[in-house]
Amino acid sequence: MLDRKSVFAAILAALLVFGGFISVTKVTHAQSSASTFIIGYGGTQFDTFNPFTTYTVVSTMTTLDVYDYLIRYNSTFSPTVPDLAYKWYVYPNQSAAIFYLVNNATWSDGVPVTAQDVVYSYQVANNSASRLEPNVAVITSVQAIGNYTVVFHFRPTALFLINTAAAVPIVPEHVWQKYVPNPSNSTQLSNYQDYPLVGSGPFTVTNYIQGQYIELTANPNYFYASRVPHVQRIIVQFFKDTNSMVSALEAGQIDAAAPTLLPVQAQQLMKDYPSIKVVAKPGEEFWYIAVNVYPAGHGNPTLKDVNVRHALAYAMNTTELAQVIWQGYATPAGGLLPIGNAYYDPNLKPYPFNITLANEILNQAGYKMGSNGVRVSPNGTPLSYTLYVVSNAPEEVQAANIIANWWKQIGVQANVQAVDSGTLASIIWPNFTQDFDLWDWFTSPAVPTLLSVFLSNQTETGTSDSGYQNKSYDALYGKMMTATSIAQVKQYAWELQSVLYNELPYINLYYVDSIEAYNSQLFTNVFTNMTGGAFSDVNWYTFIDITPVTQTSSASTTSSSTSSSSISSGTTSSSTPQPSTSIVPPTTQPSSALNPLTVGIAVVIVLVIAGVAAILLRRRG
Amino acid sequence: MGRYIAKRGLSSLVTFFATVVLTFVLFRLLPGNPITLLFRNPLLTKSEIDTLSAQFGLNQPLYVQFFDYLRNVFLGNWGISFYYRAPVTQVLFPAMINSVVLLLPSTVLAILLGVSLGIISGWKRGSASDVSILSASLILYALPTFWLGILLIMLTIKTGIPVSGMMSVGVTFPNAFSYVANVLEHMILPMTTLTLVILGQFAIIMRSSILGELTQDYVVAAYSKGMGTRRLLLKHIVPNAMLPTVTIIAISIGTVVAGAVLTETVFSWPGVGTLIYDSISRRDYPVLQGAFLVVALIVILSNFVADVVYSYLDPRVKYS
Repeated sequence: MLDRKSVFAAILAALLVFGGFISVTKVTHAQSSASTFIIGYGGTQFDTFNPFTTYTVVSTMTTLDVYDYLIRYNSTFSPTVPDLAYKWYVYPNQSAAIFYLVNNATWSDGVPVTAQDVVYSYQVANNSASRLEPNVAVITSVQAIGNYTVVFHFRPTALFLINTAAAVPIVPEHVWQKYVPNPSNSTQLSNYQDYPLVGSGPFTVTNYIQGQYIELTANPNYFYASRVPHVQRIIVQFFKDTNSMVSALEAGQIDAAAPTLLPVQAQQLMKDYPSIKVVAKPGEEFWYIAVNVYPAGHGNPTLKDVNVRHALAYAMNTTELAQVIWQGYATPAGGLLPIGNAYYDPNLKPYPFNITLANEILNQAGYKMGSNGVRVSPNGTPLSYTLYVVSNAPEEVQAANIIANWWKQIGVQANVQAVDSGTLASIIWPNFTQDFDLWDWFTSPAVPTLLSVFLSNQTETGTSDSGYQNKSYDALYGKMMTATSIAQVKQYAWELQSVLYNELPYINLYYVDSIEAYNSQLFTNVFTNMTGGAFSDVNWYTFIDITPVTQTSSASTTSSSTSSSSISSGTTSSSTPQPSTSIVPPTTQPSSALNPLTVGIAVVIVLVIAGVAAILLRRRG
Repeated sequence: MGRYIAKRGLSSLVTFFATVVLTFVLFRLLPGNPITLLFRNPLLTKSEIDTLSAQFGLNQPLYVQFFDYLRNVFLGNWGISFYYRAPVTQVLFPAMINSVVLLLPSTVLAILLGVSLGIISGWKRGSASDVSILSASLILYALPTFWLGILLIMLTIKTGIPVSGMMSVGVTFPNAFSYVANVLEHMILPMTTLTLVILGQFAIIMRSSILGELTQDYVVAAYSKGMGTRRLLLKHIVPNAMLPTVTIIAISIGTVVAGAVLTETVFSWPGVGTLIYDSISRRDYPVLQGAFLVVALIVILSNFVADVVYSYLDPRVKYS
């Protein structure tokens, strides 16, 4: 006899398993208005609005068009675009500059922007708690002449415009003085969160909810009429991980996704969502293996022999690695500065993969193969190492394992250990007990200052993870920073990279592309033609240019104002959005969210439960 | 009764003090420090490092840091987050509230459903419904949270049900009602996931304690004197069988303020679980200390309440 209640309970239990799978209620999705552009951000989380103390890309990206700068760089990182300064002049000795400010710029609270604000901002930038201190260290004096002229004196450098004038956001003295009355007081500066925020840029911050989103609203009174935004609002919504962000993009909850997506996510978007455009551009990130060459370090001493480092570099196929790990969304690295950097050296090619040569180098240097397949140095130290890799990047752990297998072929043993970055930092600094660390840098594409990581004095401050010491390198770096023409800076930057390439304190792996996506059916004029892609901490064009598709006819670009009134030397590269070399998704029908795998699993579970229920019911009946 | 409560209260207090001390020690045992970590900035200068170390008190000897911490805990001054450069309370409490908004209804629903299913299952032991409930509970209990969450997202992505976040951004809500409705809409998927994943344990525990009660003499006696099934079950068996479940419920309610890392990650829910997780990797000691203090306090409190409820349900515990 079938117990009706048992049958009911069985159905209930089965429903419980699938209750969530079957969406019973159809909820109308709150569509965001066409004039609101929502960017999902799945990278390192927002910390603070204070532009002098933030260490996150998302903070800089969000405030890039909230604060004005004296001048801006164009899409190829030439500091030639006027901003608060409508014209400027750099004295030929490259040690003084004068900036003439527009007189119609106002803060979002209505107070006019004056030269005094500029002076104050540069004083705050020089605070010991300010991340911009190195950018303004060259300044010897800054003074306001009247309300709209600022004069800088600085130690000679050709990098003043790009590394200093275009790097310091101008903040309102009348607001900041309440919190940071003394611009050089580090406690005051560190404790100031800068929210609510008063800026003078084309956008203002109108809302911030911790852990959820930041809302920017267009400033209709922005003093450059040509840079008044085309969207009413931009919202940066925070995501805990990129999968969740991509789902939101697919579901139409957001209009764009940044920063770098994973290749598999990009491919899925291109395959299934024709309305979403995936754009891959040279990025700001690059991965490397740092070798502990610190003379006072406690790593395996054989790594201080440059022959060993050369052999290791030859025994690594970075081209294949870039293909396997990043599915082509990465460029095998030659020199230190990534391919999108203004000081990238195209002459430095990745070390060719040559196991025979690597073995030969080690043989000639006297490293004999041991019976266990691990070579031994002339004084008896085996070439057996620990290769640390940061655990929050699972794909790089895979890369480390592949590399370890290649190295095995030349008699080098590497034990891969994935550790979190805090642990890795404690292994490296201050005692240098590691052999290798596989890690990444994000570097500003506008300047060559990442080269400073290899200065001898960087070991103790915790930026040098190789412990590289080279007096002539230090001197050369000094020359680069004090060179008086950009051509010279470039020449020194290339020389420095060449030194590193030959000495190998870092074995460079690859420069990773920035892979981003946006809904091209709803928005257009997304400025992607820049290192880091459309949404980065350097691309200040995107937010201003972006246009809802319905408004395309009225769209204009920021390029019209570019440098036309500037009297500075140097030509301006076009900042007009150009057709990017983005990957156009094939126009396939969007596939159902019910993919075969899911359906399969669901069917199996249903069958198991139905089977159990049937057997039991029969036994009782 | 008063004496019992006082005793339990005192032991709760001792536990809390022990947690305060442990909280400090545990996080200092993690290798690495927040300065070298936070600031992997190629241009970091020595003066900047010194400034930041001094500011966060990291240049002080450990015992000085400890006494500062003790004093500040009781003064309610929980410090400034290393990462957010904002007061800990300002960072912690909004996230905690978000977690409670999601977790409390999910937990309560899971308890109600789980306990009811456990009662049905135990009472009808050996029947088809028992086997179905038991196997469904086991399957759900064993399901990885993130897998279930991702599955739900895949299945609902075209339906318009929000797949992430806590509310629609870029939308102005005309009134409080539409705001709440929007949050509820965003809760559908994470709440379904959480409820499904946690109800299994309640069902399983409730079932086995019902089974334990069914063999008792008083049940046989009540049954033989002709007591109705419903009355026997609800008035006699369930209250006795609830005892072990009360403890689990207390712990579950207590951990509601600790968030749910996996669910929060899959659905980008701005809760405290992921905040704690991230703070560990950032070595953000002040946030971690604050979070663990609050979590410990709530867990200890809810256990205290459970003890009191226990003594009400079963007066014998007072005398043991």
